[in-house]
Amino acid sequence: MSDGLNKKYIPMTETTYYTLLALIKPRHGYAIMRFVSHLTEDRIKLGTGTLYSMVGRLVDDKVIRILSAESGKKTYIITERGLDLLKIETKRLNQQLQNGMEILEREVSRDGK
Amino acid sequence: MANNRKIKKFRWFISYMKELDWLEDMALSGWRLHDIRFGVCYYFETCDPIRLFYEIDRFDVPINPTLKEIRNKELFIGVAQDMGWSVVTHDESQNYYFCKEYSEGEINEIYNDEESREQRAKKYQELFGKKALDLIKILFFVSIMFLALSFAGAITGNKIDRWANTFFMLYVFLVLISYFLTINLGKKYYFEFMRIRKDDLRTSKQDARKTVRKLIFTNIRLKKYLSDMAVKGWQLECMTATRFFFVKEALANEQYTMDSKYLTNKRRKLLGKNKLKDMKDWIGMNNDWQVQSLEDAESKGWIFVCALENRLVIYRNNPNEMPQPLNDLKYDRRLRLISMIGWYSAFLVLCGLIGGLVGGIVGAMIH
Repeated sequence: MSDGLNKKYIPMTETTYYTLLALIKPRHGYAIMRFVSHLTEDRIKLGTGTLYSMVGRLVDDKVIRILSAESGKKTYIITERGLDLLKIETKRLNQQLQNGMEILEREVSRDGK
Repeated sequence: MANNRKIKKFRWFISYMKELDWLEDMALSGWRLHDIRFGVCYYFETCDPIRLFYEIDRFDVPINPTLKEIRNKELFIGVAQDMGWSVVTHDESQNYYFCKEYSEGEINEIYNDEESREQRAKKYQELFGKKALDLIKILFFVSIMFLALSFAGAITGNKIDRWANTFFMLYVFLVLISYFLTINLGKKYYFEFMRIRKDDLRTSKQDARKTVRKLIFTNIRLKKYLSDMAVKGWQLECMTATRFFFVKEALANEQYTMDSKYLTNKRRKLLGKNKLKDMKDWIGMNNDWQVQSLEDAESKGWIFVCALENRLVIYRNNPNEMPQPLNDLKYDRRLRLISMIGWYSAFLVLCGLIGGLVGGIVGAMIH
């Protein structure tokens, strides 16, 4: 079950990753958007369509859940499953980053010779 | 507002983007949309002139909707409201109109990236595909009815009226035309929704493009036509059998050449190689020759421009260097019928001609 989920979400898209990060604290749609664009210095701008389809998918897979719904304004929060995914993905990203840095450094020093 | 005036305007738009742009213009001049009836009758209320962004979307459910698909509309509108959009109204065909005040530095579109834009574009294309299919379904039932009537007439001896036949043929014809129009409209909306709003119609590059409808029957004419257009600053982008699409480029003294399977095989023969032939390829879909053609052309200094399906490839030269001619100039005066319509179409035309001829002769003999 969770194996299938891993296959679906890892590697994770950047927007999904940031959305999950945002939802470690309870947030609603607009707050997610603000958080992500603040964190990425306006590089990632989540639009309504993107946010809607992503949040819908995440709720479906029980990666996040609806915390409260007042007059159409829904607040979401990450679930245990989501948190696990986020940890695995962070680990993976860390490895990717290190591999990249190592090889780049090696290549750059070789070019320097 | 004290003087809350209302007006009614009649407009008919085929293009959604033009409609939304018009609504934006109305808001800029102080009229805010509050209702749409029958797709043509727009009701406005006075407001302070503001920059409003309008968007359109729809929430169709499939035949057996899941829980999520049933809640889809509610959820979407919830998220949209959260992001500052409000639902203005919806029309008779369940298109929902959203609006939001323009704010600098924020996203002023509901669908702001390629992936999500495609979702809506596909939604509209599928809708029109479904409409087109419905037309065919109705046609199917009407055909069965007429067939039953004809049989009944044949059994009882009452021949169906000639006018009924005429009516039926006309009906079939009209339905088929509407079918193709609907499919095309779906395609049009797909491309419309895939475009980014800001660089839409107002700042479009319409004048940097040109489409020419033209029939050119010989290779040499085709080469000359394309080179002449290049001298005038129009570079070929792609083509069909009867249409040429040009883009505006800097004036260039370019030469064009074309290649086809026939010519590629001629070249191979000259080099003592086998003809490229695929006996299993009945309808001309094997494009091995195009690979060969590209190889030959590139080695002679030609650059690929475009290809028309599997029928021909167009090349142009690099303006700085003089390429060797790709094919013997004696082929220049040949008709380029096959490269226009393809082998399969040529075969069908031939079959039609033979069939017609045989039918005519047999008919004449019986009489």
